[in-house]
Amino acid sequence: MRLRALFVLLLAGSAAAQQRALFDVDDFVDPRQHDVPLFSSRLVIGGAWNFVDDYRPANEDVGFVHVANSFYVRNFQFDYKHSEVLGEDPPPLHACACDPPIYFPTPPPRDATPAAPPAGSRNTLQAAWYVPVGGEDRIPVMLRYRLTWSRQAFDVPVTAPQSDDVLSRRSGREQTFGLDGDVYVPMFGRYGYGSFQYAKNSRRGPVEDRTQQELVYTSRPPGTTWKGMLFRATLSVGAVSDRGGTAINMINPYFEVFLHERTTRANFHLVWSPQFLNSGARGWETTHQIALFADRALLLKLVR
Amino acid sequence: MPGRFAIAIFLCSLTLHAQTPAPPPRPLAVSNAVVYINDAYCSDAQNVRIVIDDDDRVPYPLTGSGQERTVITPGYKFDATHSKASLYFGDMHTDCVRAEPDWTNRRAKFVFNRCSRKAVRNITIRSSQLIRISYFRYLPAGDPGTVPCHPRASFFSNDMPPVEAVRDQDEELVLQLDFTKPLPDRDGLRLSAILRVVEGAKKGKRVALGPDRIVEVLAVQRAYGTSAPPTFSSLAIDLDKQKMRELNNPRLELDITYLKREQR
Repeated sequence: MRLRALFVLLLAGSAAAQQRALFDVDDFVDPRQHDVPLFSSRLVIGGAWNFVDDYRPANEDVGFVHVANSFYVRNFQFDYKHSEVLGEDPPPLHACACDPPIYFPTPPPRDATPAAPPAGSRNTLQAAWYVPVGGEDRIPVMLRYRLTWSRQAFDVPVTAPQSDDVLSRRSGREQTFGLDGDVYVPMFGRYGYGSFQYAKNSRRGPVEDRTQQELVYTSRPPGTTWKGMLFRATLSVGAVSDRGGTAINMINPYFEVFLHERTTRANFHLVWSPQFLNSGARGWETTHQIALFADRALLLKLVR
Repeated sequence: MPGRFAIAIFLCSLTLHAQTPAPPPRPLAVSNAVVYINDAYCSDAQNVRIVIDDDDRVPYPLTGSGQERTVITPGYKFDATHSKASLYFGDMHTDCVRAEPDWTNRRAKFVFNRCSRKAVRNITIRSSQLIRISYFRYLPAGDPGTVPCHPRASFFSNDMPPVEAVRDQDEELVLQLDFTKPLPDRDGLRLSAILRVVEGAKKGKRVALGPDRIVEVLAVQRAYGTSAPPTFSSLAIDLDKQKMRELNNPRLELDITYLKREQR
């Protein structure tokens, strides 16, 4: 019975999966809502406790500023997004006086969850295509398919083992290429929404290179409303490579409360997103990520 | 090897079959029809009107009584091989059926085997601004032999005639503000969302929807995932607000009057 309940939950739940950052607010705009091209610039500001970056716990609380510029024309959407994650400075690397040098702290082993990249700035480009799907007996539903490419560069100071003198800096970069698409599937006699995400994340430096691939299904049940607030719960389940083990090693329920404030035209989000991650070295670990942030349009222009 | 050959032939035949659909029936343009009402629950009803080809503005009255009735549509020709129709009985609205051609008498034949027992209500809409309001109704196929249809109409008036006998359970009424004509492939303000969000609407009270309330109802619809995956899109809310400003912040009044509760 419990297994069955879990199965139902897995299928009926959904998650705004973490391929996109937690603070990257929904930007789905049904092309049927605008007859002319549309440009929008949006600012997001907030903070997150126990921040998780692409299924890698950062083990710190962060603040963030995010600007999303989106252009919608017909059934297409193009985005340029810039985000600044503000956390503690990365701890310096200590290098031993040996050849080749060994850096401390040593990076997590190959069968462990990789460390999140240092807090910093990230640029993202996206292109999306909206596709109507449906028959005669209901309004066609609009699904979105999207390509994402993001890039982040960082550098870390290197000091001598017994001193704080910076000997050099080691740089690194990380880029992610992702695909995600909505699905509309029959489920228990009704239709339900979900999304598939695939992403390949490659990091070079500052000490070692790691590449992880993610394949995640997110089930997206209907939200609900109470006293002017919107609520939703989603559930993502997936496999993330390069951390030991195979099969499903990521489960991510996601709960969000959304409030649109009429006077300021700002939108407030409260998110609780516990991530259950499994690695060969440390087994299942849970990170309770909580975020509070607000977004507001900086510019909204219909190009008539 | 022969097995593979057989499978190849089978697949080829399937492909050929898929590429050669049956030719559509020859059209028969008519402006009269015979209507059969085969349900004793409603076959004696008076003042029965028929909506043909989803044009909800012009329900044509049936003449005669009992099971077999007739209708004439002066000035309007419809295809007796393909048109759809539904019946209004005042406090009832049937599912839609497809016309059958009567080649001998050169007329259409509509056969209604069952009248809906579902709860219905009339919806009267008034607007504070003179804006064009279109609506369409999504009636799904119900009993065997029925087909889905979308009766629709458009008005440019502060006080449009009531939308009649909207079914409680299985019908969706979609209001499209500032649409010059109803577009069933687009979403709009859904009655089901208004009933969910606006207090008193479910009980059949008169409710007022200001521009902020309209935006809220639309946001709830998107969160519920009525015509796209559930989303809390802030930009979509901003777009709705801009639309309301362009329409001079209309205020809608909806009178939702129950005509009949569910019958068994």
